[in-house]
Amino acid sequence: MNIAVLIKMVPDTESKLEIVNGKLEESNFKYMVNPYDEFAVEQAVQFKEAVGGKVTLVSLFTDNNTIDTDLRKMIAIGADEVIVLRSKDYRGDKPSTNAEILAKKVKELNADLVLCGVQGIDYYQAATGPMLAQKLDIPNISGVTKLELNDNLITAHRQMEGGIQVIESQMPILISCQKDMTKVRFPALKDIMMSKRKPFENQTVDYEEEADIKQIECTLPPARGGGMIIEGETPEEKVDKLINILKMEAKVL
Amino acid sequence: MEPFHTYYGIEWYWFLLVWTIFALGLHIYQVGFIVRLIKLGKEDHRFDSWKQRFKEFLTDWLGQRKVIEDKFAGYAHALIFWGFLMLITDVIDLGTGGLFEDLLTIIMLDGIWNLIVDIGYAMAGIGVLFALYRRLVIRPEKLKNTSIEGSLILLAILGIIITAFIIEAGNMIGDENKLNQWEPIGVLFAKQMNGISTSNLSTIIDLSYWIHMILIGGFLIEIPQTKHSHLIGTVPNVMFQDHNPMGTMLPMQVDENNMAVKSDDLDFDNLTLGVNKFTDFTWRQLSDGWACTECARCQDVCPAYSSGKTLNPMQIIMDLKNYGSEHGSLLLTGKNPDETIVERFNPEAIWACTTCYACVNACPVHIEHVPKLTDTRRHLVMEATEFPEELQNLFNNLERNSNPWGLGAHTRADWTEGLDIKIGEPAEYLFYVGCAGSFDERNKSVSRATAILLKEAGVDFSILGEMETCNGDPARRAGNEFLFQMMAEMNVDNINSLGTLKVITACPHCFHTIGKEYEKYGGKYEVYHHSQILNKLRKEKKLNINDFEHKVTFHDPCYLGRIGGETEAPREALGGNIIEMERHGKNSFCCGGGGARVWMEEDADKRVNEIRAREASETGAECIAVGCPFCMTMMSDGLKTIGDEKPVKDISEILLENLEVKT
Amino acid sequence: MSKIVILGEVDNLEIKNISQQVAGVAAGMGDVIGVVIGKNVAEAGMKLAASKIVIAENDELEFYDSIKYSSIICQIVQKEEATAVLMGATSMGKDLGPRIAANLGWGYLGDCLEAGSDGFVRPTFAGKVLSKTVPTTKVVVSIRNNAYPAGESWSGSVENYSGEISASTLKTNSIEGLGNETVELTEARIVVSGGRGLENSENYDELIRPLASSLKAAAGASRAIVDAGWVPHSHQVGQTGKTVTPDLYLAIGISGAIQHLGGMSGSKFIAAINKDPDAPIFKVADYGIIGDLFEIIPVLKSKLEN
Repeated sequence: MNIAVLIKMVPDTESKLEIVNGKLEESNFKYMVNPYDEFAVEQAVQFKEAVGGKVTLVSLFTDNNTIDTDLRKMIAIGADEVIVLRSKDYRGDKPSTNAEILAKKVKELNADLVLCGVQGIDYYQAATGPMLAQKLDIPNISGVTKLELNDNLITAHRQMEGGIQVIESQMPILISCQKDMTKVRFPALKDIMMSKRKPFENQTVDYEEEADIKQIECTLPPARGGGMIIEGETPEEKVDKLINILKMEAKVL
Repeated sequence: MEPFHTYYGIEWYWFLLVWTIFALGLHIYQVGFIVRLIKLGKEDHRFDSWKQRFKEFLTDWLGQRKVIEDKFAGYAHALIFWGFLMLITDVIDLGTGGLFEDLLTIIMLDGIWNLIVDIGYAMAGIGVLFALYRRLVIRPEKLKNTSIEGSLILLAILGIIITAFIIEAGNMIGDENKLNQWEPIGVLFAKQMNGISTSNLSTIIDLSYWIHMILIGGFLIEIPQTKHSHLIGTVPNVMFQDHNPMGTMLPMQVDENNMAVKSDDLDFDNLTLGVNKFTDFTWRQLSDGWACTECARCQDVCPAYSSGKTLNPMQIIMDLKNYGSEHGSLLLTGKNPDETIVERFNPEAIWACTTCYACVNACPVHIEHVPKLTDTRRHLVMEATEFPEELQNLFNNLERNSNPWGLGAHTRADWTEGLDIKIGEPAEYLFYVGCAGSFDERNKSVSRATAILLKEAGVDFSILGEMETCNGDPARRAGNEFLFQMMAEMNVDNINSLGTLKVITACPHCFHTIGKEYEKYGGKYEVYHHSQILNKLRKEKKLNINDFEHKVTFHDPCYLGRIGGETEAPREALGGNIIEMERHGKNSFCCGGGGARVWMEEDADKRVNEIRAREASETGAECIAVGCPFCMTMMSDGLKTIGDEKPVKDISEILLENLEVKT
Repeated sequence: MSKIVILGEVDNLEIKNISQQVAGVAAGMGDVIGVVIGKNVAEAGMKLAASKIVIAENDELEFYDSIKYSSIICQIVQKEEATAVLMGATSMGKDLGPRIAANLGWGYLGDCLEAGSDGFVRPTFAGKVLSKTVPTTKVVVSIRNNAYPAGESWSGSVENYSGEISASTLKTNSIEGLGNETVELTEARIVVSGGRGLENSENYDELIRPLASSLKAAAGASRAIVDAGWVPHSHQVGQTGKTVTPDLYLAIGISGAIQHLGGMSGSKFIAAINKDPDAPIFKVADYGIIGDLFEIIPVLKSKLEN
């Protein structure tokens, strides 16, 4: 079975976030594998272990080499090969462009199953997966919490509001993986060392912008002051204020 | 009257010869088996510092230094041990039908020899009686589940002693009737035996002789099989004790200069990571199995055992010995049994250890329990990848954000807000704040207190700021040696970049790892615990601390007191007026946080910190002083759980509260 | 006048509130054409606040299918020559939106916090950075709950969908867990979490669970009370429990030790209720009430219900 796994390299959300001239300062970012994509890698490896086949990781990124160690860890989990498409113009918030470039590569791989994380922790659009599926003209199921393989049929548990939709389909198909879909294994040190010997291909690509909408500016939300203590004479008063703030200011209610 | 005559027409020495060959042969065979098993272990470089080793052998083996730490049982044992050293040559005399004594008579040493032997038997006899009294009358708690084996052995020893005196007395009775004043106890026996008829006397003496020799032969056969194997094992164990500072873990691979091989150069193809097979241990780790006397002192002080966990340090050593004995024949053919060391030890036990070293500290024969557990952890983490799930988060956070909680590394110096502190600049001292002190609200106030006091005293110091990362201790104790090494190498570079070689830290784990373990990675620093510096400043009057009223008890951190060797400075720093818990100083009882355990789940009814919190609460002190961020968390938690509202404060916080500010 | 196509979702025979909100946004952009797809959705669908409503009702459309649904919407867009497609950022919307955008060759803006005539604002980096866009080309947008007030339903024209439905290999076997009240902790938008301050397990059941339920939130717990046996380990938030990233984390009777913080510091907003003014939780909470939770929680619950 031929499985392609899409990997997005994302900045750690604990990094220092600074806005300079309306743009996010990205030069100090350290990148890591998108945690949602790790579930995809683990699931792919599990399928390979069950029915045989090949797991190819495909990533699209700039020419920054600091990501290589993290990608090798994914190989150490059990993937066979990693292909990194490189362009210095790459941006994480351009799902149409990225999906187009990735789709071209994935098509060459002739994959039966394409797996990816449901969203990237940088931009949370959850768009690249479904877009890629459309461009490859294959069905897709997003937000899958459980995936099973029986002969040539996959059964996916798709998370929806208040329940799980159980869907069956033939392949080829694209599945985007939700958190805790499976338990990602901790690669043994020897496997990490061995991964240095597995194929790691870098390929430069053109970054032709597609239909993505340019962002105008970035701002930081009002600083978490670490504690606005709500004053009030009575519990009722305090609660009223809290509810008001949560509705109007925080907009979470 | 002597037993050296014919029996059923055959000379006595033929019977003795047969028995000797049998018993001695079995003994040598078994000892040889054990020695060959121990030699299966990897190399362990302990053939150095011979002068020191001989001295240690004299004080610890001959002098029974650690044995007599337990006054009653220890002295009882010492008496038996010294007694036997004195009487041991008697068996040569008895075995040669008295020829040995004849030889000594020629050089006029027979008298003194006889006296030494008699005193020896007497000392051993007294020791045995004390020991039997302890076992059968006092019946201490720790011996509750032991088998009758111990008492039987003691009775057998008593048998050897009594029969020896009977034989001695026998020599003085009969036709000769010559009392030997060099054998005072023999004389006592002789006087008692005087009235017995000749034929009965003859029987008694013959019987005593053969019982004596059979018991000795029996011991020869039994020694390698029971806890008596310590007669063999303690010799290499005491002789080749660990000269590294207590608690120091070793790198995966070292070069010819005994420095750690750099992580890029590690030879993973040929490296075994940790221990899972019997032969993965070093010979010195294996000899521990046969040095154990089953005294259970380690068990008594183990916090995991006390809190009802699966781990029992004595059981680990017994497991090692039993595994070796059971699978010995197979192991000696070069094969490995299906059962692994990890399976025998039981992973639950392996993960329960807090690496507090109370067991190693208590052991009279220098057994090193903890490294066996941390070595199996290395295998579980780096090879088998089977370890508690919570540690996966820990490892990822350390790797990615250089702190165990995965918080933004750029917020590390936020605690300094409002204080004017040098960050990343050269200074006389480097204040290594540590992760808890940088990120945990409760411990940030300890960092602030320490910084304020240092400034008040005019100490020139700087912190690393964002460059500081976790020292790697949790990764190392949890078995992720590779991650530790990468962090250590990076830290050494960072610390060296400031040029300061004197380090102050408020965390005993940083104190230990940076001070004692970083050396192998190129970082040799003078590391001080903040209590040491604060104490020095107080003594030099650079800090004026008012005496304070409220009663304080001090909980010694394991990595400062027992493992670090510093128990005085924190007490003096606090003004010396401490209400001590029963288990204090080097015998402090662990808070339960070490060994990466603070990041692992603990069953609610098996909480180490609650045991210690209760102990602290019962002193009646108004405040519990600590010197470690783990202890701070664990003790605070523990007290809350038992419903005690008394505050837990760090030494620096108490000193700051009572600081007399210079106007 | 621009034509804006919106997706109306029907749940339990009612048009979802989020779809009405989307309709409100669309109304400010042009002429709204609502599309409702499914089985037995016509009655609810007609309440969508749009000037024209297209109902695609068919047995084969009973369950969400990315290929079928996107083919329907794309055909309507092309037929109406619409210039934007809007929908709620629901599990369906977030999957359908990008697919439609790729099909039409348009841009896509997902999960918008704010939507209106002066642009769209999206949360990025776990909500720590806000990104604003003003689209100048045709665009597909999915919009979060409560980003905009709901539109008023009014009677516009209704027609049945007459186009094609693409074939799809997806076959829905069943829907599980519907009616299951509890929300999964790690995916919840709101988490109501309790700690030692609650004093006993009965209080947890009486105060935390109902409050969570009324907020359609997940119920969480600190390690202290999991260990005490008041709640199962699945509820534990923290270093040795689950990591949660809700929009709102309500910490009730929780002191805020670092082990707990590690599990919820990624929350967008943290509100704490604790009687101890020195509790570390107040240092990380955005909003705090220092007070007796036994007085505050009942008041909070009753006011939220009204």
